[in-house]
Amino acid sequence: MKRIRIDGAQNVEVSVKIPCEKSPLEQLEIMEAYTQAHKESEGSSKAQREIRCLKTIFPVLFRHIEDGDLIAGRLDFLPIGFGSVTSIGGVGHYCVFHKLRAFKDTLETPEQKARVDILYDYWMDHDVKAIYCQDVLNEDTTGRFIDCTYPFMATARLSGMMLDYKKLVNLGIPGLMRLIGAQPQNDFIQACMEAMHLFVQVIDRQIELVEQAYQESEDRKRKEELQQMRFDLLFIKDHKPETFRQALQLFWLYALCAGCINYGRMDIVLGPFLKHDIDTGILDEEQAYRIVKSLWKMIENRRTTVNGRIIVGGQGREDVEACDLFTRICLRVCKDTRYVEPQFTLRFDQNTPADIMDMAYECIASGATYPTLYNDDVNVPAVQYAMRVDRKTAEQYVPFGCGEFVIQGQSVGTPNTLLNLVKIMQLALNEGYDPMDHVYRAGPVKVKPLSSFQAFDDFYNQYKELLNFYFDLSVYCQRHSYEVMNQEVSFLFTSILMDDCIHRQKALLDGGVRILGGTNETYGNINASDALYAIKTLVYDQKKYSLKQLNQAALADYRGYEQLQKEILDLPKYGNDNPDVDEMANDLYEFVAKGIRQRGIDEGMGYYLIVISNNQTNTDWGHQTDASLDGRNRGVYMNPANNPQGGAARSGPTAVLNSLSLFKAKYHGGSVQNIKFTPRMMHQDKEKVKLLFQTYFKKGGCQLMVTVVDHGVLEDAQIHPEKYPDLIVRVAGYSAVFVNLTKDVQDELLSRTLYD
Amino acid sequence: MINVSNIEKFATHDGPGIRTTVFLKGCPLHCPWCANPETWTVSPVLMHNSGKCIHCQTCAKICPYQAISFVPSFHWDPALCHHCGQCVDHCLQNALTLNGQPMEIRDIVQEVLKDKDYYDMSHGGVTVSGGEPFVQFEGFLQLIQAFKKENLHVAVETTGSYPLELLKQAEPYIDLFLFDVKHTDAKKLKEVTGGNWEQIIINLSYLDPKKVISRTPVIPTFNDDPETLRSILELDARLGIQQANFLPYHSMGKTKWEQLHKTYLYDFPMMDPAQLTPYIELGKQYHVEVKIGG
Repeated sequence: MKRIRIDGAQNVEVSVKIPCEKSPLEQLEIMEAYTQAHKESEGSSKAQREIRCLKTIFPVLFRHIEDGDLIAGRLDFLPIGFGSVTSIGGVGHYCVFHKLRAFKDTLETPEQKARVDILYDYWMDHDVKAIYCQDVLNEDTTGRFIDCTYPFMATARLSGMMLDYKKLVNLGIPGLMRLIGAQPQNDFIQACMEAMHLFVQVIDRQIELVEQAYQESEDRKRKEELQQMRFDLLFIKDHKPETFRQALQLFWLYALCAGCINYGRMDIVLGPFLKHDIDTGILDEEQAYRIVKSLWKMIENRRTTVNGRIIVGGQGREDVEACDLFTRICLRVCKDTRYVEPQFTLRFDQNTPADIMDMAYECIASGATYPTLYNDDVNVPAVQYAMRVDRKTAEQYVPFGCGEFVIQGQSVGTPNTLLNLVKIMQLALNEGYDPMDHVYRAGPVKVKPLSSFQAFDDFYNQYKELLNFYFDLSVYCQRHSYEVMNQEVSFLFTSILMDDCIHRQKALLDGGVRILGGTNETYGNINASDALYAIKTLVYDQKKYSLKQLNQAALADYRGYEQLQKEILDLPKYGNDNPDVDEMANDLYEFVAKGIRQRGIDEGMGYYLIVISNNQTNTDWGHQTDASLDGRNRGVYMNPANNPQGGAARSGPTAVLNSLSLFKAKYHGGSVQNIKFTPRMMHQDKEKVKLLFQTYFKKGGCQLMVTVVDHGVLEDAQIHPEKYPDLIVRVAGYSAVFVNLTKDVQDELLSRTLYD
Repeated sequence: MINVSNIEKFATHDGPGIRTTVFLKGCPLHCPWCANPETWTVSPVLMHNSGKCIHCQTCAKICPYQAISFVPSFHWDPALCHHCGQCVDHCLQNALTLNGQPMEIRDIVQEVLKDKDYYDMSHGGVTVSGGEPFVQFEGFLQLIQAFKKENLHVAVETTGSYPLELLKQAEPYIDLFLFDVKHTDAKKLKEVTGGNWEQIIINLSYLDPKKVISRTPVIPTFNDDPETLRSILELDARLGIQQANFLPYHSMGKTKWEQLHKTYLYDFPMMDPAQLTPYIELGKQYHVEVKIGG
């Protein structure tokens, strides 16, 4: 059988990672130990194999305490190891091949390098994602993530897991162990118990590291802090946490062990502890501020680029006062730190206190790009419908990564499938061939010649037929990713804190998780709908050109067809509050969103929904996508999320927000909208901008992220990057330091309309 | 039908709340610092961006009426132009814009109503500006009547240079006048802007001062001296006008002058708004609330 190569970039990585603390040789030894454990445990149960492997990386991969850390827990990861997500390693038993190759170059002797080759070869057959890729990737329809030559990409990962940390802090380690111990014993339950024992060893290691830092410090105040940390670590080993510090410490170490990089509703988890400490005088707000700031730094230092979600506010919180107390401190920290992570997220509704909304606004106006705003009045009922869950469950929705929703502690919603709607349209225009590389990518769909499309709907139906084929493929690949991951691993740490794994005595993907959902990232949504509008208008309504003529112009990348391209570009575009063109966008959106959702239902999944999020895949995929009939040239970025194509929004912010609020939120599993304002507008017209946002949300806007930047600043930063080390911009589903982005992504950001 | 120069959404400087501003064509004045010189004529005007133009002369070739020539550089003859827009459609460099198009009253209203939710939330509305809206009086009157029918808050930005009769007819449909007071010296006003102070002052005096915000673009060498600005505040106080906007000079309209191939004579550095803040205090002496900017 031909072996599919999966060596190559596997995720968007903008932030530069902090190098591993261990020497290359030590790293090699750890990876060998991991590999050895994996090899030797062949034939054992997957749960036992997992725990055995985990023991080779925990606690050894924990780093030293750094000066200023107020909670313990810094963790390295290597090109080989165990994880959930590609941002820090990979999924299950993973090998990140291109990073392993890069690691090899850091070794000195040929003998050492040869040892790496042995590892590489072993993992070619055992990396969980590689196993998955062997099953689903092919030469025409399905590419690996990220290989943008295909209309469809699939991957295995377990992104966006946000665990029930409330359960963790309420039960503590002893309580969790009791809960696990009380279950009927099976292999999974036994491994869970072993995982908890391993977790205690991790805490023991932190105690050693804190003591070491204590010995090395000469600062009296610092010594006191370290003493406090030591006390808290010792305490949480045997007790459920009683203070804010202890709860935070426990949560943080657990999230590290579980490989989780999105954290979720921290106000619910930590707010009550904070309030207790402040009420009883254990902490004052300034101390709390410093501790939260330390958490911010720990999250920033993980550098996951598109993750690190901390979510506060919104419906479905018990002790609202305590939660809001935590929220206010987070808002202060967020404004002061200006980090790209955590992706600080505010859920709000009509009842959110005005001072919190004001603080959020100030934070945004300061240029922090945070918090990103989620409107619960829209999202809660939308999630209820989209995921087919009751209101109480829907209230626990949380956006992760670039904006996909899951139910915290209850659902899996990883986006393991991605579609390029523009490429698929081009198959409809070219009898199944992708004009970019002339590969036939229509599978079994018989694509008719252009001359046979007598009416607009004939063409649209052909496009829909192709989309349907790719939807079928998507749902298969999404489901199959779960099957493969489940065949290989149990995700023990994750399972322990996800309903209902412990009670069912089943691993996460083995029937354990309450809601097995999933998401599909769709790209080029607006390029595709604007192209449909151009086709409908010029070919079928005005009859000015034949579809063949339009397609010829696109195939020539509009060279020699500049007049026609101008005519297409001058047509109304989505984002300008034009009812006809927006309706076309909505029609395509609903077809795609409902098509994906229904397939999830038909396949017995909890949910399967599209997400119109974006990392920088709109740019990367655009490079490999031929000219489109919205007037976009070959290789140019596609539109970001469900925002208009760069430069197309010409009617002011109300018009773009009106267009954005059109899509019904109940058909998707997360959609992000970006808007860019100048500092002048954010400050001088502050009240009006606030009212602008309020109206948008009242009209059904589900979400908004705001970049505040002045005219010419981004342009200048391209020329003089050294002058802008902390210029943060919202790419789409994540924020980044502008100068860390590649030129093409910077250009896409520049193309977006700036409102002044 | 009425000739419209532009419809600007989320206009934040033309009255209270979030507004849409409808810029109408035609103006009796010709202020040399004007930020919207394309609105001076009622009929459409062709704007030409020399920076973008590559002198391919496609526009000249395509024009059925020989209104465009290159002798030696771009020249547009408004007398020959039929405003068909073919030159604009065929300019691949996007160097040409035809400013001004006749629009049906109902289409303008429909466009303005798209943002009704924003007006309602922010106590905003619609502002009719120009040019001078009263120049196309018949259409303007129909327009504000139509806005009122939709219960919109209607503001009008006006120079006041027209017969009182017209103002009397329009006034009942207008909630707020953003009334230009550029100078109190009739001679200087006439000389520089062409405005008729007698007419302006009659109109301004006619209005209920509670419905008026006086607006003064503060222009270097023309009216930026303390005496003139003080005299404007005195006038406001005398008429019972309680709000005044002092708009710091800016040169952002300059490119439009260039695109109209007109010489921009009032080219000064941008005025620092802080320069005008002392007038906030001065205004208090006259019981006039002075705001810097619109």
